[in-house]
Amino acid sequence: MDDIFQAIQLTCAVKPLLANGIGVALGIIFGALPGLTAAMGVALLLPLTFNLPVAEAFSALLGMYCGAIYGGSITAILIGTPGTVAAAATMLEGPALTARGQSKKALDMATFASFFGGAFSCVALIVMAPMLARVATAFGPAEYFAVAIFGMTVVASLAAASPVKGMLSALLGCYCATMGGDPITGEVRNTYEMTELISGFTLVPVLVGLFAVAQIFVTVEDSLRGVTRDMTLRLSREGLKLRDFFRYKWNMLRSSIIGVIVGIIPATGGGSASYLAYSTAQRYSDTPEEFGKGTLEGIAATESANNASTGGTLIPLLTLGVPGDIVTAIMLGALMIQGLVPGPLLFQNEPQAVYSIFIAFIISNVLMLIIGLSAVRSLSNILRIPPTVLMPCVMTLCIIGAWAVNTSAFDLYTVVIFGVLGYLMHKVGMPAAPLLLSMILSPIAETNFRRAIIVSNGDYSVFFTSYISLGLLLVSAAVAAKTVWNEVQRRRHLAASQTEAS
Amino acid sequence: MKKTLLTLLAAAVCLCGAAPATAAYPEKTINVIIAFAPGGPADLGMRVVAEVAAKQGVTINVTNKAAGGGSQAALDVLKARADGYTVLLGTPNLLTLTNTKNVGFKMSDFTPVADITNQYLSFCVRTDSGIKTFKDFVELAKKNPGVYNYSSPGAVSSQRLFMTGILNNVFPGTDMPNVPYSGGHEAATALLGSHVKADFGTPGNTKNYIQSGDFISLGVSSPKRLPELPDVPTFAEMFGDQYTWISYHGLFVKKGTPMPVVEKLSEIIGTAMKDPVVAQQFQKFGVTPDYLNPADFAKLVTESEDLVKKALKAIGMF
Repeated sequence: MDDIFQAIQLTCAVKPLLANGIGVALGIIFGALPGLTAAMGVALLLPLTFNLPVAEAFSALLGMYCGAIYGGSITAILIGTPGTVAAAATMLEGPALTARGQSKKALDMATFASFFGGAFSCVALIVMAPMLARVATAFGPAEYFAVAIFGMTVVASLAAASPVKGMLSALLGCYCATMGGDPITGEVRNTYEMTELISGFTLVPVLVGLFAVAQIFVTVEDSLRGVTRDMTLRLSREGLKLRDFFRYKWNMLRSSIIGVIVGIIPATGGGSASYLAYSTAQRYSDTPEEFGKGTLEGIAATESANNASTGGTLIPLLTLGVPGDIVTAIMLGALMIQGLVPGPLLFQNEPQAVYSIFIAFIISNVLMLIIGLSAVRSLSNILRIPPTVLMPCVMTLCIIGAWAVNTSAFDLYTVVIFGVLGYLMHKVGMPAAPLLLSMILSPIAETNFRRAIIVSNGDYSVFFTSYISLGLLLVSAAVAAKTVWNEVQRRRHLAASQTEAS
Repeated sequence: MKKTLLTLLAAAVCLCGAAPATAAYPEKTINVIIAFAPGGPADLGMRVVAEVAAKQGVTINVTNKAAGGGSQAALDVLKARADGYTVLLGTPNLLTLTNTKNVGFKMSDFTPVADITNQYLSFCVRTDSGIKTFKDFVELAKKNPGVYNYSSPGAVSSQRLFMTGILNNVFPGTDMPNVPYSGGHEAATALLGSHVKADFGTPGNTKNYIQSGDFISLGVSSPKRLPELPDVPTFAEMFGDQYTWISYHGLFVKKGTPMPVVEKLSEIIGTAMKDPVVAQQFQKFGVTPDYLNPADFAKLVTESEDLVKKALKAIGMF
């Protein structure tokens, strides 16, 4: 108990609180700007924390992490371009709500949901860290494969409106993901002799190109064709009432649980968590057909899931020294600088440091709520800027962001290529989300499938002998079957109503 | 008249520009480009060295460029002038890259300057497996082909190449599959969860598990026993001196950089690394300061390249 009090004293002092607040504010900005990601923000802060005491260092880093994961939703909702990978799913509902004049409601929902998710994951972290750590190690190649397949069923639900096009999009994503080094043999494949593709496409430029730049092209085309957006679109005055917020409590709880679990599984993070939560929310919703047209339910799901994953990723980091995602991989460096060796012994040897990290995380989430709510008011003024001015600014930010990842010219080409691709896909009505999700999930599926076969020495039953793997595969099959069934039913009804009409 | 004057002026300006930069190297910031991702112990180590070098009045700016497996960093250094202001921090990964595909450069395009830190390979099993020596493990692998596998940090990692060398030369005909992961942490976690039978990684990644008693190391690739693992035999002890692998993390400049510049840079790094702060910080990250001067480092690189070529041939990739 002594340690906890000490930790509270350490993290609630002026300097750490200030560090936390600055971290959150910077994080929100980083998250909002397309191309700049949470990982980048944390990587930039890392060297600055070299000489700071634990409480201050982690206050800043965790503040940046929470702020950035939340910040992505702001641009996703207001401008229709995702600030971070984690916010890509929020884009499925955000812009539609803005178009209906409900942007403030959407932003408020995003803020509260993010806080809910983050706070929930705090509790999970504190109460269950050591127990949940076991989950992280229980996941072997077969289980990872099953998780990836389960994630792919989400793709199916995202493409429900146009299954064939969605499938094409997903397959295209799978192909793009194969470019680069074969994860098992190391041979280079599908690089068309380009050395820059040896490590494959960098994800951030793809995201920026596919969603942000493509959106810019669409807006440019719209203004060229004289299609003007309603420029009197101000930030709606009507915010979210607490009562409305509580309506989604089960949704957010469920999404947060999904977020924490996905966060715990190493190598998966906010992006996958938000899509999974979204798809699950749709399945359990009373009004599934509203999804995609602008429902707060969708935002509640995506934002609580991606912030819940932040706490989830910290669990394997602290308990096993295994990073839950890219950001925590960088934080591993921060732990080492402080002389803290993460792992089973950390909780025993350095309880004060561990509690400091927990409390700093709680404070980060609270500050995120406060700063987020106050920022929403001023940020919304972005909507007042005419597209002719706004889009070039966004484009510049996209290029800067894509450059910042690797200072690689090839990444900039990636942005342009995927920007054009995204634009073309938009014109033919092909959804872009399946492509992105495929690019993230298919490498996980392929690599782990092959690893599982190596380990089992050619025995394919390995996917069915593990409870986790078997369970996930069965659920995936069921979900896929239901999606197909729904589509068949829909077509039957459509045909029936058409014959009735004629 | 005017023309002659102008020509003379232009010539004078050119000559000024061509004045040997070695005269007062370093006059401006030295840029070190790291050929791998940030956050790892070697990356942190380099940053510490850079900070300490500031005490000598030298500014070193460190950036990462992990794209293309490190080849982009190498190409960047080759695109710059050979004046010692653009420096590469590279590892034997680049040797593997250049010998398996056409990446637009060879290691012979570089002059080695200084080694910063070396990492070694460490072969671990779970303590509860009851296996006590490396030979025992191989015996089990021989008796149960395909069952005894080991995880490694990458598809064409040093670990895999090294193990192939040992298996082919000392234990031919053993079926011990390699299960590649994307990084040392993942590989170690796989062993932690008992998804593989062994983890061939680095002492740094497995330190805490050895401390907690979950893992034991059966062999290390260093020339002598490691101080933090005094009871663990080296592969050299077990099978012969040629079974040593040193994963260097060292500085390279473009070939053609004047030798005085190379030596000055090496001196700056050497002096920085003698600072007690460096030893202290390095220890925190789990690495050791292993400074080598240009000549010694060049020797290490050449030896490593030979080893890599042999191993790649053995797995059919060269």
